[in-house]
Amino acid sequence: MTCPRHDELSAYADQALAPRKHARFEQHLQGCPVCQQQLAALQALRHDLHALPSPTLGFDLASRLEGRLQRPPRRRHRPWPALWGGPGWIPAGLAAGLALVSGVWLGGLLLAGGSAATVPRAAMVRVFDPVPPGGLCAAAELCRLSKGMP
Amino acid sequence: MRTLLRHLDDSECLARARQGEVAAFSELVARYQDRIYRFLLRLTRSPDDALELTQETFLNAYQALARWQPEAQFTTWLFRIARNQAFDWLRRGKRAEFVALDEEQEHGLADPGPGPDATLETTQRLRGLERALARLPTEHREILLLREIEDLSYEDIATVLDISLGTVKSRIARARASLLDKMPR
Repeated sequence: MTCPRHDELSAYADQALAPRKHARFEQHLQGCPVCQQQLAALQALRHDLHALPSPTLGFDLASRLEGRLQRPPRRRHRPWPALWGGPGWIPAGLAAGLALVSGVWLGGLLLAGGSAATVPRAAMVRVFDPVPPGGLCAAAELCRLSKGMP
Repeated sequence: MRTLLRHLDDSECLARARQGEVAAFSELVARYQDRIYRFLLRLTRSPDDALELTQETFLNAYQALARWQPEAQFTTWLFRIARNQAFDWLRRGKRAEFVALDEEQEHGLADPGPGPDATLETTQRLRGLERALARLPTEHREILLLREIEDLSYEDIATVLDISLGTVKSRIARARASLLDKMPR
C-alpha cells in the first residue's frame, strides 16, 4: 500500500475512516515511519490544542439576560398551513398573480375587439330616433325621414 | 428554581423553554455560555465583541425556539447560530486579521505539570500555538476549534458549517497542515 493522502491520515487520527480503510491503514502504518511521524505530529497538535487555556465569562450570563428573556419566544406564523403546507406568502402571491392576469385579460378584451364591434360611433347613435334599433317601422314617412338625417 | 432544572437534559429544558419557562432556558445558557464564549473569542480575538456575540447568540436562540426541531442537537444548533453571528460580525469588517494575545490571556495558559524547565517549554509551545491559531484563515480556525476544542463529530461540524462530510474531512486536514506549518520550530 502506498502512503495515504493527508486527509485520509487526518481522518484516521479522528477515527473517522470506514472500518475497512481504517484496518488497511493501520497495517500500512506499522511499516511506514513517514506516516508514523505525520500521525504523531497530528496527535501532538491535538494534545496541545486541548491544553490551551479555556477562557470563561466569569459571571452568570442568564441573569444578565433575564430582562430580555421575559418576552415570550416568537411563535411561527403560518396563515394557511393546512391548505398549502408551505410558507404563508405563497397563497397571497398566487391570488395577487391571478388578479393581475384576469385584469390584463379583461382590459385586453375592452381595448382590442370590444370597442369596434359593439360600441357604435357617436355619429351613428340616434338617441331620438322614432324607431328603436331593430324595431319595425310603424309609419313609412317617419322612417324615411329618419334615414335622411345626418 | 434553576437548581431543580439541573437534572433535566437539554431536550427537556428546551421543551419547557418552548412552553415559556424562562428558567429552563436560563439553565441552558448556564450550561453553554462558556463554550460559546470560548469559541467566539477565538474567532473574533476580541473579548468585548465575543461577549456581545455570546449574548446575541442566546437571545437569537431564545427568539427562534419555535423553529428548533426536536431531532436536532441543541449544541449543534447553538454553535450554528454563534458561528453565523460571528461571520456577520466579520463581514461587517469589525476585526483585525490578527490581534496578538494580551498579557493577561498569555498568563492564563494552562499549567502544564511538573518541573520548571518543562513548564517553560510547554508554556512557550502553547503560546506559539495560540499565535499560530490566530493567524489561520477564519475558515480553518473555526473548523479546528469545533473539532479539536469542542470535540464535535464530523457530522455535527457538517451541520454547523452547512457543508458536506467530504468537505469537513478535507478542510480539517488542510487546517491541520496549515497550523503545523505556522507553528514555531
